[in-house]
Amino acid sequence: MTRSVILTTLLIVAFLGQLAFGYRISGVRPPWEVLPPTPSPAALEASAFGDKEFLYRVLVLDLQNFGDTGGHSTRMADYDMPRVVDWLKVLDSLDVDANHHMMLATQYFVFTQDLTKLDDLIRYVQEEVPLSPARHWRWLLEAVYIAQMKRHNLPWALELAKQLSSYDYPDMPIIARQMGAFMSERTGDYAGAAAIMSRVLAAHEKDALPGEADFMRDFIESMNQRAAGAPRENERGLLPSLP
Amino acid sequence: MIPTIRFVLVTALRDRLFASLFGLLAVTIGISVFLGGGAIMESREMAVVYAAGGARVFVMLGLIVFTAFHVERLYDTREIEAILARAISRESFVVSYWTGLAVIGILLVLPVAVAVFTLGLSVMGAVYWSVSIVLEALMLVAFVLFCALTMERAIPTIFAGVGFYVLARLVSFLLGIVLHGRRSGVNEVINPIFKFISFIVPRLDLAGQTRWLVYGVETNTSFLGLIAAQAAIYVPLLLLATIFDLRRKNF
Repeated sequence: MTRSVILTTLLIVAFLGQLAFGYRISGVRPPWEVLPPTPSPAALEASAFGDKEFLYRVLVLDLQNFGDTGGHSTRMADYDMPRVVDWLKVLDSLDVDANHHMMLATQYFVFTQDLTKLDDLIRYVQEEVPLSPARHWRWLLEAVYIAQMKRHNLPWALELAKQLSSYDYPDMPIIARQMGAFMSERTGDYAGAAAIMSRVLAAHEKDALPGEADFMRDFIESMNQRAAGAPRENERGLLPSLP
Repeated sequence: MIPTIRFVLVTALRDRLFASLFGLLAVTIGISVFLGGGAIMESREMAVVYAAGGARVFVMLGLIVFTAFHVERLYDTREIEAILARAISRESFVVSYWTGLAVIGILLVLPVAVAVFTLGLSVMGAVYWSVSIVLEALMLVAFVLFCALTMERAIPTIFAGVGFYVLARLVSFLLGIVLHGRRSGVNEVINPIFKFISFIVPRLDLAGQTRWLVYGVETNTSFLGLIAAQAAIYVPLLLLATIFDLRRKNF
């Protein structure tokens, strides 16, 4: 009886001790950082267990959710963008053909309130697309938009647009092929614009819609006229001037 | 031989291996589809990769645990002596036992194959993946059967099986260290050891590539022939080793 009472008392005391301890440490949180450092190539190789695609899908979901787990949410401006780019490159090493991390780069992290950080993302896209151009050319369209409209960096937008126009894949819409011409026109390089559009017309005149082909011919003629010094009012206003 | 194979299958049914593992696989696939829905892009790719990668591990662990405990029970109840006392050679016993476990492995891979066919984006990729997983299961059950019949106890068998599986999937990582890592100091001794290990451990890192399920079978990643050749060598090797060890035992 006495032993039973002692054991029961000890059990109750232990349980109450746990309750008190749990209450005491309920405010303790593990150290938390928005974006952890990237793993080394050796660590990645070991973690993959021979299946890099699986590790890619795990890590890309992590990257998507970094900063917004465990009851936290993080301002986009508080992300360390060079480290975000490091993570994107890690994902490239696991699956260079996937689009999920490219979408994060061009349609998720770009919503940072600190526009200077966009340069890291644009540079990443510019360097990454040549690694898998057949699958990733479309992200250059996003990069052109970001460079032109958010960073107001027309020379850089032109560089990206020319890079996009240099590709020729069956699933590319015609506007992607023409982008170099349009951006050249915006920067005042009318001869260059005409040259690019001529190349597109020569390659795709047969499969372009009739209206599209007429537009391209008209564009080339206009650009050649402007390159020769003709004033602007002699042509149809093809594009509105930039703000 | 047929009665022994049937015995293994009946034991699996009795232990509710199929019911429990099918349930676990269904949960894994369900969670994978759920997680895939959380991705802002390529949801289907994510779902099929998670489902395939997760289910593969559970199937292999299930085979290891079942084989280990089943053989341990054979020794504990002395059923193995009763079986070998009949007109069945030890060679026939080992081969028929492995065949029974192989059939179980194939039956466990079937629902996973159905899932990857449904969720996947490439039919040929799903075929390659499923076949490679079956081959992986055949090699793994041969190894675990060898350990189980040798060690006679479930716990060390499970540790050996899991360790072997992990090592077999890490072979490319080890080879990478040997080829590109440091070559001085203690690595002068370790590197040749790891290289030798890579010669005797099957290359399970080449099997079950979930990339096949997403992008189909690309020329530079179609390792199915290699895996089939590996299984054709490794399974007889392990079965012979098992027979050799069983013949030395006195029941």
